[in-house]
Amino acid sequence: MKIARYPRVLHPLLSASAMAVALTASAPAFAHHSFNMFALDKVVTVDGTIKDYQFKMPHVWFYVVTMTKGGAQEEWGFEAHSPNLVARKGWTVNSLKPGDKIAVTMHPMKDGSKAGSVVYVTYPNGKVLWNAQSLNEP
Amino acid sequence: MAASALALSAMAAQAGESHPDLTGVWMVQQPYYLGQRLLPEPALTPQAAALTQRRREAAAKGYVRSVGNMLCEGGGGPSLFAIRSPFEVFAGFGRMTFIFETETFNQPRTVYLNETAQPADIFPSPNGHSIGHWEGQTLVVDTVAFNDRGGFPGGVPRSDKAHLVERFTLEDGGKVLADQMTMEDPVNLAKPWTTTMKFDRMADTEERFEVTCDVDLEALKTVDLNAVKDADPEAARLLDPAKRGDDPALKYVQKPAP
Repeated sequence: MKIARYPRVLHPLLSASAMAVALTASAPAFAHHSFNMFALDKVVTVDGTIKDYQFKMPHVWFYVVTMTKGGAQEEWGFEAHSPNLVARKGWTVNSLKPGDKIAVTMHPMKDGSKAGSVVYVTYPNGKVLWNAQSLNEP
Repeated sequence: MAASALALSAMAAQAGESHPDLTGVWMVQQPYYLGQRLLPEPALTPQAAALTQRRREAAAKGYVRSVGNMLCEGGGGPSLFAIRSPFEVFAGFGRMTFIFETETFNQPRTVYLNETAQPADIFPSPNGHSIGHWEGQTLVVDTVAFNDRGGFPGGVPRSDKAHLVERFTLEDGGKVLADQMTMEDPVNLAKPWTTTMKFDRMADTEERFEVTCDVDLEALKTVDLNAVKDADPEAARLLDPAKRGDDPALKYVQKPAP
């Protein structure tokens, strides 16, 4: 097991409840493009509110507004796998709606851009939606 | 009466009733799409090894998404088996059909069970031309007439000289489909390569997704085709008007904008 830690570049952006989780490094499948842009050895969780959810080919994307420690709003983009793959993990076209409060556990971008590759999404009631990517996925 | 019962039973056997039922929805097992190599490693020809090395070098310089991927061009079989998406197998009227749920290539693959020899003249295609027969509990499938634009599993290049022999069997009480592939290709493989891929049966209730692919012209604009043409045959093809898919009719009907 590899213990992930906050990437330095993300420090000022993370909410107070952001946490590192321990996962073995996962290697997403080469679906429509490479995942080389994501730091796959890092796993970070951010809290926020859904702004937009695009359940579309080739990859699902959703956008989340987070609050920085300084109280400023940041918009993040998160990528999951193809709709046909995440559907088999329980995702639907209605899984996320604008205004939903969620936590996103993800691999951040290597270059510090405000985007990440989803590992899983957690709802306030504890329900978890896994991206179709990890060796550890249930 | 006895004779006709015997004839019926022979027909039933011929119709495949005594053979394993390969129909269903199948999903490739994890190791193959999580970057584990298919073993044993294939012995590449110097030409294929050089292409593989040029691909690696281009990837190290940031060319991580191929032109074919941007243009929604998949290469066809047998590399399709290594893509983590389900495929369905149907059988009937003397053929078995594989339908892959892959956005960059979803032409069905047909295996003709009622042809005993490969036809003399076959139009080369991404999946090639497959004929199959049963040897006991094993479906043996012979494939030739690939075109020159696809791949073997694991990113191994495949030429139009490729020959594929597959032995399909069911394991674990029908829960697992095994495909032992023996690949020959004088252009890319120094000797025949035999490896086995396995697939898990999904529930019959599993629905098929229509996966579509949109051409990504914005991504294509960022690619210097000349810089990558030696690493990506599809980039070289785009630079060659004789090879790419231009419609000859256009030069007669399409007038330049005023």
